[in-house]
Amino acid sequence: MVVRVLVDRITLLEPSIRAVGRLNLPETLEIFDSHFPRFAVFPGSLILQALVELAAAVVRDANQPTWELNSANEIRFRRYVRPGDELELWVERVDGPDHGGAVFRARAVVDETPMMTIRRLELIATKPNEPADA
Amino acid sequence: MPFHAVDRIDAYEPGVSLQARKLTSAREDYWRPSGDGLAMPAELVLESLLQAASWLVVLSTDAPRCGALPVSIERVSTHHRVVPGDVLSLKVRFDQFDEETVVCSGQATVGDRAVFDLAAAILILTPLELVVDPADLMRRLARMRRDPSAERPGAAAGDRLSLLGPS
Repeated sequence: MVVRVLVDRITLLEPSIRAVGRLNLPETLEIFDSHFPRFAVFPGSLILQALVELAAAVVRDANQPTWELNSANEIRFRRYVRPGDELELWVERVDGPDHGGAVFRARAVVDETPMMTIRRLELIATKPNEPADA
Repeated sequence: MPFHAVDRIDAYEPGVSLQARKLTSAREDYWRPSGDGLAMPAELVLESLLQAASWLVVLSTDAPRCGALPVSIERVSTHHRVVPGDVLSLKVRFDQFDEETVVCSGQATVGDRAVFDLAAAILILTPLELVVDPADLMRRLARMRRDPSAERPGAAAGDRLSLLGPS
């Protein structure tokens, strides 16, 4: 697996509100060798991971520097994302100020065509001194 | 490194359910900071469950097919972190299974602790030969099922029937 930071560039960032990012998928990415050898497709799970990364950038601050996926509802994969695609990622916060986590609406598009949409993407802050399995 | 998110298939019932494992290693390169240490991105646990469901499709159809292409997921949720060295136990079951689509659900656990849930994922069945070399896939399947006779050099798709007996 070759998966590190996925988002190549954040092109718009309005803290606590929304962000737009870019994920380029050149033919050189090693993942296309195995997913799949005869029909290269960028995995939807990694698009989800990129959207979570971007959403985390929206809510990250000095008090809560790291956020992670808590849940996602109504994920739709509308088209295959292929080598050579320039994926634009959009996340917009939709929860109220009293919500414990951070809830977003999210989508990934190529040339204005939706490739993947998520109706409800919820992140939670990672607490540095409180491992999730405690 | 290949994008392979399932390492072992422990048991399955064609068309019904499958139990598999994903071994994690500190030498893999997907770890990211989380809390006091490193954690596996939850999205990769989802990938493991989707790949487990795809293996169940392969093991459930006469004409080899691959259900590796999801079209929608109703809900995913995380419960605990996966840390280097954990062994993910993957359990998937088909809620619905026909000639064209599969609706499946699943859960990943580490020990007796649930770490991730997948509900109502819809996968479209795709002819295997369009996406992978069926012979390569069958060799990998034999390896994951710890089938020494089927894993010999030269074992190919023609050996498939000998590989697919229920475990």
